[in-house]
Amino acid sequence: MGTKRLREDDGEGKKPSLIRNKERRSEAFAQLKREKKKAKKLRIKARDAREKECIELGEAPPPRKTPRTIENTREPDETIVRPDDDELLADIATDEFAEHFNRDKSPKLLITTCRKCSKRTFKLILELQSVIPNTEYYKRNKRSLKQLVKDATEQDFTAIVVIHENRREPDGMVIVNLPEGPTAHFRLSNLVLRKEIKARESDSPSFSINHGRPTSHLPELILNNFTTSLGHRIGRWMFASLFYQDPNFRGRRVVTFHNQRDYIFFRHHRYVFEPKETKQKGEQKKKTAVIARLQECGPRFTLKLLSLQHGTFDTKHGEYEWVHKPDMDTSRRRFFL
Amino acid sequence: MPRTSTLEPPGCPAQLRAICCDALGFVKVVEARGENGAENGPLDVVARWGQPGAGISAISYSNSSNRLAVARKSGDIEILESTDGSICAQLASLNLDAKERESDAISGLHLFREDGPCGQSVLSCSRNGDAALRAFGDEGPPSPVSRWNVCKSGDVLSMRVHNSENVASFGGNRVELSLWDLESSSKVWEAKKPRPNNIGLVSLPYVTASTFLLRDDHRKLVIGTGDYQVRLYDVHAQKRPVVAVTFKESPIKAVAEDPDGFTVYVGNSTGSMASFDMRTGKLLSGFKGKLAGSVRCIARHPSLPLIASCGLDRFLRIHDIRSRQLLGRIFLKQPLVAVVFDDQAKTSEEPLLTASQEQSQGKRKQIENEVDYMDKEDDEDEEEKPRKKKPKKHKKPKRKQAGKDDEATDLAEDESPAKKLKELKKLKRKQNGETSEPKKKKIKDTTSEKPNDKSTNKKKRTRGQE
Repeated sequence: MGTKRLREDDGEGKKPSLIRNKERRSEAFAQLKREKKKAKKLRIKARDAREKECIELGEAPPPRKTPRTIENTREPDETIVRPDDDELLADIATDEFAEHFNRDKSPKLLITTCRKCSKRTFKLILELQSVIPNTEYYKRNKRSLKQLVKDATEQDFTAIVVIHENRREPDGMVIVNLPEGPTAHFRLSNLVLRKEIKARESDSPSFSINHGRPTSHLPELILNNFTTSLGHRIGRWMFASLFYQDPNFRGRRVVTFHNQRDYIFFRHHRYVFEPKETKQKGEQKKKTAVIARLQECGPRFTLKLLSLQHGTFDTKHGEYEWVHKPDMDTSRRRFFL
Repeated sequence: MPRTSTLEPPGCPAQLRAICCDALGFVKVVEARGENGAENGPLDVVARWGQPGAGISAISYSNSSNRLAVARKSGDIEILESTDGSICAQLASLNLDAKERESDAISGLHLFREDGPCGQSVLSCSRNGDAALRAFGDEGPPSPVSRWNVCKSGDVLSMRVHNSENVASFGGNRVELSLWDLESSSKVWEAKKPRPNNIGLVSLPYVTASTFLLRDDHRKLVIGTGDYQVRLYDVHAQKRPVVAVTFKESPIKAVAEDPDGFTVYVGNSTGSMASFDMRTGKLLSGFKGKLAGSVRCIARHPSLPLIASCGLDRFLRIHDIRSRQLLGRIFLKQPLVAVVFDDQAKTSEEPLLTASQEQSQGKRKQIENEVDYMDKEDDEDEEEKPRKKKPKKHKKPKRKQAGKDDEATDLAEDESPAKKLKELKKLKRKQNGETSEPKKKKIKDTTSEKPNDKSTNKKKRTRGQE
């Protein structure tokens, strides 16, 4: 038989996964974790000591290892936009959004919902109205989206945002750029409304109110990590065309669209520059450093691009620039935005 | 463990040259560059012509005269030399009003062969149905314009001129497919709406792409509709479509015919590509491999078994037809409008052969090219073809056994192209040293001989006499 070979005699100790008893296994695992943590601390101490020595000697310290992440090992993508691309500049100058970026046209947004919306969607819309300047809410009633597109173009709107719902939770967003612009369809998830935002423990007690209240200043826009040509189109053009081009820096309001692994995280913050006094160990003088502190206001949600259509909303006869297909998910290191 | 490395596409044959046009106004020439004289290589942009801003709405390529006609959004047509992109002729837009020009882009363009019936001329059709046949000469005053209106309302989305250059087809949104004679500028044939479906609805005509199926016969047309259908029309048979197949759920944007006379490659607006057998309407194969956006144009290489596809996802892709594998793709930065192959070997474009002769010629070329191009594929085809042609093969061994009557029958049948084909195949097999064919013959012989030797011999003789 010989299946129950105990290896405790080997000296190294048994692997926790080989212990069949749950209690003992979890204890062994916890101990293993503790030991690993200790070992890591020692390693870091040793590394820091070595670095200090090297600096004192005047040598260059040995380079630090970088952790391997999925973003680091991303599949090389030939569509990644390069800043010196003259074709891209020509494209930008002549596309649908050129008027907005030339400041010929100021954005005017129409927000609406799917046909029967619930309270939560309505709250989201109220909050979005405070985030994005110059928006108007219209009830959907029973209008078709194509009709809505026509009516909105007549009234000089530049974009329509439709919030879709499923089981009383907003779960989709369609941004239609008017007159002829592209239509993007997103999946909306992880929605946290303003009142649900809780303060983090690391924040100072002065921010005892959990969330911030946004002002009517025009916000700054941060678009992170939209690298590929598709990402560029979505990020700079779809999102940036919703906001005014001249932000009021005095208002200290920031809206962030952060793209990571094809998920776009939307955050809305107020920031404050504060001088903070720090006492370092062993030194008597207090050092004052200026720290930026953030307070989150407004909704927080995650978007994922499902499709980008060439014209205005037309699912029957429309042409798609990009559609998500299950074929594309074969590699965990391939991203499209 | 998830796959961390990607499989690189194998590469396209080194004699490949494709010309691609985009919506910004560039004409890009893409070639496959084999490294160190290798046969296959990755694609690379070799040249870029044109200025940004004058977007291209339609193109037409004439392989024999090495010229590319390009229609810009402004309505102007430029004829470029495909070797270096220099403009050899320009035709101004027919619309004088600027506003009209914007809305009335040219949706169909055809550059005629220099030695053909129309000479150095161009047929253009705008969205409003304004078709114009204009000659561009190297010297002399501006040539007379032959102009007619194809439709009263609706948008013309697709125009194709047949290889014989006598007939052109027009079709579009709310414009029913029609055939026009180019010399007389008159409508020769018009399609009829398909019968109402089970609910009683009649679909409005929405032709988004069209092509003539056979090189020498203008009677067969294949169209792709905005209602997700691929239809085969036979002009001499009936006005309603002969074969209609539904392909997925988005409008079909591109249709390209194969020289074999029955295969058609189809691309739709969500980036799905497939090939259909138009004799039966069966879906032969789908093409996978990094198709994300609408397929605007599919081009089939005149001699190599390759297809190029381009579209709104800004990539040009080359697929192998037999293996359906993606051979190479290249990012061309702008939404692409059309792609054509520049056949370096310059296969002749002579029309006016009978259908059967043309088919056999086409098949012969295919066979020759298969032998040259990909040895692996040969084996697959060898096995496939005998299976398909079982009934014909029954005759062969029996005739051989009969002997005496063979000569007369052989002479009579030698003239037919099908026999020529088989002989060629035999030769090829002998070259390759394959013995699969004769084995199969033997099997058939034994089964036929089992019941009664004498009677079968008699049967064979009579058949031979016929």
